[in-house]
Amino acid sequence: MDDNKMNDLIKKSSEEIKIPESLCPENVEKDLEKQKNVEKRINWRRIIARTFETAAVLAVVFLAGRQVGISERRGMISEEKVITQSRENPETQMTETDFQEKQKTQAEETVKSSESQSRAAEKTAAGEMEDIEGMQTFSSPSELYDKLQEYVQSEANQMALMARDGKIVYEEDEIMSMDSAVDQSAAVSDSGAAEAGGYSQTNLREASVDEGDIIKTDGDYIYVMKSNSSVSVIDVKKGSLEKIAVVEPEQLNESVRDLYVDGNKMILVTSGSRTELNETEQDVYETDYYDYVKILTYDITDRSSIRLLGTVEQEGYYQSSRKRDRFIYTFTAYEPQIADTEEGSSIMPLAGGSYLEASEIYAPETLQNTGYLVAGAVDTENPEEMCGRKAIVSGADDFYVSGESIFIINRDWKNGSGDVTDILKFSYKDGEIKGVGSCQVEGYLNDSFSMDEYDGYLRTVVTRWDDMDEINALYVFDEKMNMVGKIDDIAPGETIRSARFMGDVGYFVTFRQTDPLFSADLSDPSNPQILGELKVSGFSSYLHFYGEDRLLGIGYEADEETGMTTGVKLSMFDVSDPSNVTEIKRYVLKDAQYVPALSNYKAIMIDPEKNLFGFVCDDSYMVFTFDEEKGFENLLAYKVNENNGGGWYNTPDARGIYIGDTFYLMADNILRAFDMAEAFVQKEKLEF
Amino acid sequence: MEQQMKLIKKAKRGDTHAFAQLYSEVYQELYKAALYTLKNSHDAEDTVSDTVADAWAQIGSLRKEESFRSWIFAILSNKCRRKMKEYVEKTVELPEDLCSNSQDTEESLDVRASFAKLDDEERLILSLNIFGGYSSREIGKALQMNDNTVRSRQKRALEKMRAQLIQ
Repeated sequence: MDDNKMNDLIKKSSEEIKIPESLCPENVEKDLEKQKNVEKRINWRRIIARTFETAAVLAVVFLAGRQVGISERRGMISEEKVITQSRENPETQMTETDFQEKQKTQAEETVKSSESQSRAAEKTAAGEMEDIEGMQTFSSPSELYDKLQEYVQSEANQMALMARDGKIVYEEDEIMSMDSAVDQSAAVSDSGAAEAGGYSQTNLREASVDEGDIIKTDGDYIYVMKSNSSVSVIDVKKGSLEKIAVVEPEQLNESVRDLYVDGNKMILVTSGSRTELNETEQDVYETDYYDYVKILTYDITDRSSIRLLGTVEQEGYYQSSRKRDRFIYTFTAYEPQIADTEEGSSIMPLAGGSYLEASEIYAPETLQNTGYLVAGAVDTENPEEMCGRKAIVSGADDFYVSGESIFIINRDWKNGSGDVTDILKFSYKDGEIKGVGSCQVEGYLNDSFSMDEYDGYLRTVVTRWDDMDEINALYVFDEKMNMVGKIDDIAPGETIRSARFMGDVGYFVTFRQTDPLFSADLSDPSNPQILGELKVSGFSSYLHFYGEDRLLGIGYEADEETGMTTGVKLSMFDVSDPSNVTEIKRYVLKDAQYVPALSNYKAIMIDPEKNLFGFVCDDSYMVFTFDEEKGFENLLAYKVNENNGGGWYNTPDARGIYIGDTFYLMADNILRAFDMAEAFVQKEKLEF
Repeated sequence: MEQQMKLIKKAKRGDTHAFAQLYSEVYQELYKAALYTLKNSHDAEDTVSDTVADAWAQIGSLRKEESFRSWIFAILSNKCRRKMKEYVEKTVELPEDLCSNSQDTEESLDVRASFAKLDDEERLILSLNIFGGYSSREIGKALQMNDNTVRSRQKRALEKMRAQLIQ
């Protein structure tokens, strides 16, 4: 019986359940009426300001990571064990301890600066295992094991303490904002102008760093992924849609996660898992789950006859990937299994056919959890091998990959209560990944657009808690991750909603009830300055440079009194003078509720040179253009049903692309072609 | 959606009837999720009741982009987690009456019995998915877990149940 049937069975088993009278809507209504007449409404404005961006979770502080397998391995008990609490509790118990500690101790000065500069300066850039500021390296697996075991022990002790004290601390009014950990890195360097003429490109975070997506085009063909199960090649040269090839993963239960096309090469990143049963004692079995990612490189010189050139496998759950020139970098999350003895433990991930060595593992000074982020590099010219790999203990909440570096962002739950963020920097060149340095900032980053590397400097905007209120800051770090400049105390009481940097200027939006768009001068890294502040209603969640002196903001309109959103808003800003930014045009879709692409920038089609952009708003894919005189013009609003064809990985995202004068919409497993020269009349469609 | 938006607007302004209408669409699943997760009908009732009280008090914070359903299930999820922690502290054995109704079929009882054998987190994850309609990503967000982890937990839980039910 498959999983869906099983779910149905469970649902069915609940059919006869009788709902208690007191919970019936009529009674609930009566109770609330009574309550209304007796009490006043609680003022939750504070809570509003602190809730999560999406799917509000009124939560207490939680850890970012997990440790799995500890209870499973200890004492070698079989899968069907009863010790359920110990597995659930570690993370949550820890947060309670954190809270108590926070109350007991003062928050430390969290931004490390020159004290550690000397250490980093001592070592040269050459050589594998030098001392990296804030990061530890290991000379043997035993060293790594000891560090992991130490962490595990201290967690177990915390738990024992908590159980003994019997205290459960919940601070309901201390709600922290946390971003989703989904890959959010987006191209930052230039204005997003399309490199090749005539067809659209994936909306990249960084122009020179390609990212996988569910649809790609090279102007002659469209490559499209269907429900994470296959990739079809569509020939569009003759003006019609002709499916000429389909590529599927070798293993039936593998899912296709990302697609890259570059010249005559196509690369797929797939994920899968294998289960093994190991007999630990007589008649006692343990199930071992092995999750992996595969990087498959294909030769597509003959589109109708595609050949697989090579495969590389990497252990862990797929997180993200990037492509730079001919190298593919894949990131996975791996959980080590830490037993009481080193022999009984399994702490090295498999990558490229062999286990990682201790020398390929980095760890921060303080572990947040025991999960690793594994980074593997494959040269597509040599696609049967992994040419470089590293792992970082404590995983990653988010990534930003610039043209030169990989930045890993982790919220630090140990030395604060999640209000401190570790940023780890790695260089990646021609397939070789090396640790460079790290820093810690007070506060959290809204998303990966809040960071930008330019000319060797890392600029970042953060939001942090200052007693009972939020406040924002901008920091500049040098190549070695030492802070060289900052602006503190920006927009108290507001949070950063979007940011975009370009060279010497940075723009970011904060919001509480109105949306100040700040512009910052970053030309002198040691002396960043706020140049200007423009207040408009609503807020932009996504900023994109749009041609000469123009900045496009996509976000929401909001009521100036209450801060409640009232629609979707497009804003065009004139940034010719950063100290005097003006909003020259705006367009509000009244009562529109949700633009999913605002948390997934790849779902935004945008080409300033072609003067075209598109995204899904509620249940329609909308295409816009911009005119200096007339403002925003809606060219297409096509109904899409985002709720079907979803698959377990939830990528039913519609995508829009263009080739020449044809606009293609991929949604609901149908590819449609519209004639842009003929008012977007639908010309063709192809069903999958 | 239009209709829901209107009701939410009203509820925010204090209209208990509008709130009750929103609630009526989810209340059965809320209770079922609580019951399957906590395995105790009394606690499930209390938890849903608390969830309703909180939801009513905080309806002002429900953002336009969210659905009432996913929002209220998030509140329920947290209350269930809190409750399950209390169970660890308690020394008294709670009556597990997940399988109490005499009108149930043999099959239903078996399914519920094997569901009850899952661990706390597994029960919560499955409940959020089956009764709350949450995707793995939403569950990941609600439980601060990577959504891949959610998927694998879910898979394992279902496998456990399958193995049980075959016997």
